[in-house]
Amino acid sequence: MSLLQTADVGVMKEGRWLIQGANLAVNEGEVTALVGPNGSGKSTLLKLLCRLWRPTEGTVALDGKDLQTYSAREIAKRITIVQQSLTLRYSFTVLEVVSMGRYPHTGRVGRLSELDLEIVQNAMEKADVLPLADRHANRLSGGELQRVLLARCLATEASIILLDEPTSNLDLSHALDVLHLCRELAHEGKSVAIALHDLSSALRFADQVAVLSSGRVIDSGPTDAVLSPEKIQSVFSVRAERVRASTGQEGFLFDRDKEPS
Amino acid sequence: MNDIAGFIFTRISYHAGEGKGSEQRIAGGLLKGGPKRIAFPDALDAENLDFPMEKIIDTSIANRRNRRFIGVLILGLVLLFLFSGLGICLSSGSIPAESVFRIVLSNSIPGMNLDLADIREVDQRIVWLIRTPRVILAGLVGAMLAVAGVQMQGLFRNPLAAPGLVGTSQGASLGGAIAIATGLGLTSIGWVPLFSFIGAFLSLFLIYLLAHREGETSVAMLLLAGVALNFLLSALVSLVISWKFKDYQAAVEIVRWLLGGLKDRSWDYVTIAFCSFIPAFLLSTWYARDLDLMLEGEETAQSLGVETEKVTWVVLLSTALLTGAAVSVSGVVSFVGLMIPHLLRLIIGPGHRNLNIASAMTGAWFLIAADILSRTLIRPEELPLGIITSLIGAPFFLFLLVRQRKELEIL
Repeated sequence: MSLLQTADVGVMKEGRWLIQGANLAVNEGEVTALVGPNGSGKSTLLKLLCRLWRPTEGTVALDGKDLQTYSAREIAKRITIVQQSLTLRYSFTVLEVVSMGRYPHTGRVGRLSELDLEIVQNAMEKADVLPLADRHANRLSGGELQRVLLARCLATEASIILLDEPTSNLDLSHALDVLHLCRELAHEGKSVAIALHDLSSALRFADQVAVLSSGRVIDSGPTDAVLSPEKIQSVFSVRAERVRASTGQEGFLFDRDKEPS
Repeated sequence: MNDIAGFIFTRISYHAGEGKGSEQRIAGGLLKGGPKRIAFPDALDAENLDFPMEKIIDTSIANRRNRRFIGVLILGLVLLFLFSGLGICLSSGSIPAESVFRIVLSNSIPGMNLDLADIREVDQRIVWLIRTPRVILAGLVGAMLAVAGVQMQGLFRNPLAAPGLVGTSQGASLGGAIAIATGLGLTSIGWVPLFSFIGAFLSLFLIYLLAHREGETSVAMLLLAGVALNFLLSALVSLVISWKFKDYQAAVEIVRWLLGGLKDRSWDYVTIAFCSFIPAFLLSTWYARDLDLMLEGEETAQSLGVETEKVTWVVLLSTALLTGAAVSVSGVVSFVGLMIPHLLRLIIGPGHRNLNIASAMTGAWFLIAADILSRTLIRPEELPLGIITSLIGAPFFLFLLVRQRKELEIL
């Protein structure tokens, strides 16, 4: 069943619709990939899904109830997000940054219990940042930071996990780790929505795909059905060919729509 | 954080196979080996480790900061007593330290009635009614300004924010001047602080609206709007004085109040300062954790469940209360709120709970010491307190600007 659902949701900033009439369902135990060209509204949609932004029109519902009716703490316990391109300017340690993920549970004065620490440690293991625990968070590389923020979002133990291009700064090995982690999380029953540029990754790791273009969700459904070369050509203006490797793994190869003259 | 670091570090160090588990070793190991997953078994206990636990805890940054925090507090306490004692004993007259000590003890601790018969009545009055409140007031003002600085720097996410720099203190000045000019200030001692608080709040709120856009602070806007606001408010203060020129007495009163300083401050002023400091300090310390999370941006904090709007109001109100009260009892004392939080952040880290407490302590002894300097440098005359703090603080501010040069160039 779908936990988190938008109904004709739209948001307007400075007189421009960033997203409009969008319908999307994030289902339990599934990885949902949001794909689309730059500026198509993927990040906006993710922000709407966790109420960082409030919709100008339409609604977002969590468990069938309007997201606006929940308190900030309640939402933070259920939904977590890792945004794109964040920088940390203050010299908290990585351990402290990840521990912040326990805030929705412990509150402002609550101390971290043994259990909280277990959870923090598990989150750091999953994101492979345990060896960084005692480093200054503002002196990490982009990829390290991205994993630290992923660890913090895991430490919230929210059942809905929104990731905005979580692999953009990662090396190949860590990028694959993160995508596999998404699958594992879905397997554990969590819902993962992930904005992705890499369509081959979407094909491989997502159960559902929503294709966005110019602020609208133009198609959504099971990955295989949605990610067709024709669709890709019409949305991204590139020619796509679905190929199968000797291992059975499938992916896309792309070329420019028009040959250079 | 002691427990956290200890807990996790036993594990890291154990698995990294470094034996000593220092930060450098872990980092070095990673560099050599490249990023790789380290397999962690589920159950581990400290007894299995072949290195002393204390050593690992020693290497963690969080614990090092915690120890420094305790150190800052202990040192602060020592210096606070030292400078307070010095401040009360020091004067142009000659009252033996031992007598001073007896006067203070006898007056401050209920039920302790020491024999003061051998001390002149006038000396008793000087010590208890003039010098003691002055020293306590200096400490309170220092603590208030430092905590106000912590709050503002946290809210604006920038170490260049401070009450004296972006017009908040001047707003308080204008408020107080208006209270005196309208005659209200002469009817009850509470009006000036109240008006100062309102003035501080309005100017702070204005700066916040100007410099803060969509969860981000523009450094250039903060500083430039601060300069403009400073000029505007100073002009308005002058306007209020000129308006009252016909009523010579009121004009003199305003000017004398504006000049500030801690000379001839009675216990009433101590009461005002204390009653403003305690609620603002407790409130801001209570919300310290939320402000920590807001340092990483408002959206991030929101996504972690922080009610950022509420926290913003808490910070704005407590800062205005602290600044308003400080200005109303001692005039504008610049740079304390800029310097102390910044230096302490380098020593004890950016966590706001510790920063608030340590800043209050450090601000207190620093301003008592500055006040001693202001009284002694050109004896028997007095230097205004603001001059001492500016002499130390302005170069420090320039140093901060140079450090932030890159950021300023982008804007």
